[in-house]
Amino acid sequence: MNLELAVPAAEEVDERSARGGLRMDEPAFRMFYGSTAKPLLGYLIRACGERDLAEDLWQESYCRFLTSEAPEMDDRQSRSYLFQIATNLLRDRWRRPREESPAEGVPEAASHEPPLDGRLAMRQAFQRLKPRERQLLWLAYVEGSNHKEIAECTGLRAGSIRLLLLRARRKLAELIGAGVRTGNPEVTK
Amino acid sequence: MMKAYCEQEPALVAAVRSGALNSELLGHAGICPVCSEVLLVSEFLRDDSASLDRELSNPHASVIWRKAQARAREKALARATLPIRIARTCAYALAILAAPWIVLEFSRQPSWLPALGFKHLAVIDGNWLAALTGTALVGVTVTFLGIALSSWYILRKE
Repeated sequence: MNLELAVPAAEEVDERSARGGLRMDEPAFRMFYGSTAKPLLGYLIRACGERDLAEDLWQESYCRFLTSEAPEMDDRQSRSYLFQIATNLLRDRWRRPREESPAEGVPEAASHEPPLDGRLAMRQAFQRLKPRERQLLWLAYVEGSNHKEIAECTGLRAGSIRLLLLRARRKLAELIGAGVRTGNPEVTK
Repeated sequence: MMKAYCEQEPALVAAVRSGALNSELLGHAGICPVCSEVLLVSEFLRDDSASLDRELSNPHASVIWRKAQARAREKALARATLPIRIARTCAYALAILAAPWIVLEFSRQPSWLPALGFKHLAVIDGNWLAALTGTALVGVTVTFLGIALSSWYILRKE
C-alpha cells in the first residue's frame, strides 16, 4: 500500500466535500475511534514515555488522519495509516533541537541496579529500550502488525525489520530476565 | 548458536494476543528458544498493554471530531483564498520592481502631459487603432489573461 503516491478519485473528492472535507462521516469516525483510541494512546505513551506529550500527539494524529487527502481505505489500512501518522509526529518531535526523546537518556540495565519492583519496574524495563525498539516491539507484539506494516509505519526497510525486532526482543527478554533473577515474580507473570 | 526465527512465531503471537494459547503451542515454546523468548516478551507486553488500557480514559470522540472539523474549515479557507494571496504577492513584487521606474519617470515632466485633455482627442482624429500603443496592448492582454486564469481557478471542478 503506497499511501503517498495515491491520488483520490473525483467521486471521493465529491463525497469528502459533502462531509465537510473530512475523510469519514461522524458515525463512522465514532466507530473507528472506539476501536483505535486506547491502543493508539497506549502506543504513544509507551513509545515516547511522556503522557502529556503522548496525549498531544494522539489528538493531532486523529486531526491529521481526518483531514488527510489519502484515498479511501479499509479498517485495517486506516488503523495502520493512523499509527503511521502518529509515528511520524513522534519522530518529528524527537528531531526538534534540544528536545530529544525523554527516555533516550535512561541508562541501560546494569547488574548492580536495585531489584525491580512490581508493575512500575516492568514499565521501567521497557523504557530502558531505545524509542525505536519500543515502537517495533509494541507494533509487533501488542498491535500484531506484520513486518510490512511495521516498515510502512516506521519508515524502515521491510527487510531490516526482522533483525531489528530480534535485537529489541532479545534486549527486552534480558531485562525481564534480570527481573526474574532478582526475584521479582510480577515481572514474569 | 540460537536460531533467529521460528515458523511458529506468528501463530504464537496471535494466540497470546487473542488469549487462546493452546497446549500445543505452549509445549513448543517450552522446547524452542525463539518461541520461549517470544512468549516471554509477548506476555509481558500484553500485561502492560492491559494495565495501561484500564488506566486510560479518552476524551469523547466529539471533541476530536469538532477539532478536525475546525481544521478542515481552515484548510478549505486557505485553499479558497490562495488566488487572492498569489495576486497580492504578485502585486507587491510588481510594485517593488516598478518603483524605480515610477520615481524616474515622475522626476521629469512627461512628454505626453501637454497632449492630455480634449486636445488629445482631436489628435486621435477617429483613428482609434493607431491610439492603441504597444503598452496598451500589453495591458489589455495581461488583463484578459488574468480574468481567464482566475475564472478557470474559481469555476474548475475539484
